Amino acid sequence: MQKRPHVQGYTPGERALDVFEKPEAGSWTEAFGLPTTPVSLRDIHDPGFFELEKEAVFRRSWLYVGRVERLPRRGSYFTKELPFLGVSALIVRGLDDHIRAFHNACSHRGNKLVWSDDPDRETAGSCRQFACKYHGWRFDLEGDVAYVHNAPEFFDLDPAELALPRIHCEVWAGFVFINLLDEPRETLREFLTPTVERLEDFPFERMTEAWVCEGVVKANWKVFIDAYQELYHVPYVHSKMNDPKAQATGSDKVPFMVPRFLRFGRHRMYSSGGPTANSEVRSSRPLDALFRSSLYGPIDPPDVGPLGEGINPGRLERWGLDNWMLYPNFTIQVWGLGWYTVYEHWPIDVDSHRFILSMYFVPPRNGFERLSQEHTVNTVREFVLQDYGSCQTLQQAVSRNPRDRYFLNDQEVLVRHLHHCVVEDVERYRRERAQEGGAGDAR
Amino acid sequence: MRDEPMLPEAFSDLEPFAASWCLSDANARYEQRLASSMTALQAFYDAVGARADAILRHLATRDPQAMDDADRNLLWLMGSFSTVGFAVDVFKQPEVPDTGGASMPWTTTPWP
Repeated sequence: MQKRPHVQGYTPGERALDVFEKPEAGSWTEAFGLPTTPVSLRDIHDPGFFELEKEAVFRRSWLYVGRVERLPRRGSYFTKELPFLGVSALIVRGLDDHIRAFHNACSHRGNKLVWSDDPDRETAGSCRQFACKYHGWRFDLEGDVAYVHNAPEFFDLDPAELALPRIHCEVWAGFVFINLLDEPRETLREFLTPTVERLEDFPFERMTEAWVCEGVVKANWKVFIDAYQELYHVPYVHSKMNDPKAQATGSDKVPFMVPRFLRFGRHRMYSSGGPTANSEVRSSRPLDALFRSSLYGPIDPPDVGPLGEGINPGRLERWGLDNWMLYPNFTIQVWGLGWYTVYEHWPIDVDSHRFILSMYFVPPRNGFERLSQEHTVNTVREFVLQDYGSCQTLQQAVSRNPRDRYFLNDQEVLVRHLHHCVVEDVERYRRERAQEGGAGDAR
Repeated sequence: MRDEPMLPEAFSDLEPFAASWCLSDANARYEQRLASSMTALQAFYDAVGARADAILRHLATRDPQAMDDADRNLLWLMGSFSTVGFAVDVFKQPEVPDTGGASMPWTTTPWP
């Protein structure tokens, strides 16, 4: 009997879906200037590639390290541990209200300056000076040395030489970024591009009620970003999240379609209808109705006024959310229901990373609003844990598979774009190293 | 039964669930879900589900920053109710399926 695989057109069960207009180029992939051919995924499991990627991608990009709300007062500080880059950063609000970043090590003999209990763990607090636990040297909030214990025993100390090494630090829309280059190749705002920059109109500063969770995922950092750069997986990975008791639609596996993709340099985003998109999908659960809250956020959020000119740059008519994937590892999701989500993916090794998920709301006015928010974060985390599972499985399987040609559809254009940009940066770095006489080694 | 009630008097019928589920720590609420049998989760879900409307109407009149202990316990009980909802409604098991024991503990949560 001749085999008749289904590889073209829709099945009868798939007909109840929202199909959106394609860009003039004919496909999103071509509009992005990307090839439509199968891709390699060697960049997620090759240890040699990872060594180059650290330098070519992470050491040359502006990296998001935390919200300004974590630095509420002069003297407030937090540390950010980036062991894969050999960096511990100390971020502090100075007496002049400027936010600065330093390498977190004492100038005396190099011990860790700010830490509590466990040197691998990040810490936060507030102080007037930083005091080294080892020999008591102290540094002010501008990083200058303030006190040397038993100073007469030293030989010709020059305060100018004793300051903490600075890390370039800039703030946009309340998001604090660092850049590890001696001389950044562009300012933070140049790096973000004008369209991303306009997102600063969104009232992030009103949304100070924070829920943060994190985990170590046994998958390359890009694999988890890929998990929310496309919605193609949703009817399969998250099918159980639909309400089995709701009115039947004829298919549990209705494709989710993203109506609008855009790219800005290495950054990329999609907009979608959120709760109003894909109306055929059964997603309302009994507790969602009770808590008036869902994956998309609390249904009756406090009024925060206009959400700004920066959202929905593709000017979607039925807009519900933007997912902004900022290069390399930082995602901001802004929701029409007046809250936002931040994803950070920090490499540990080629096949594992630290994933931090932060969700921010307007502080609740009563116990019901407080619970609506908790129901949203609980729902998001259930979805995220399902993605977590599929990412870990993918990492293991791809690294063991003799195949290295994988097939991305037009709805997976952002996946293609991220890997394309990373590979391009690594190749450029390799060429530069070769020209300098290095053999393409890590540093 | 405890001598001291944990919940507001109007919701004293839920007192048998209070010691297990009025947990101030969101991680503890999730761990309690993982540590419970489906029978126990269903019993808790059914009991609170029957009173959920009234509880939420009550808590809608309370400022989270000015709650007394009994109202805070009620808030945390409802946080647990949301937490177990997925196990009962969707997964039919305490763990999220196909995750190989993946976990994302909370590192920052609001008070209360």
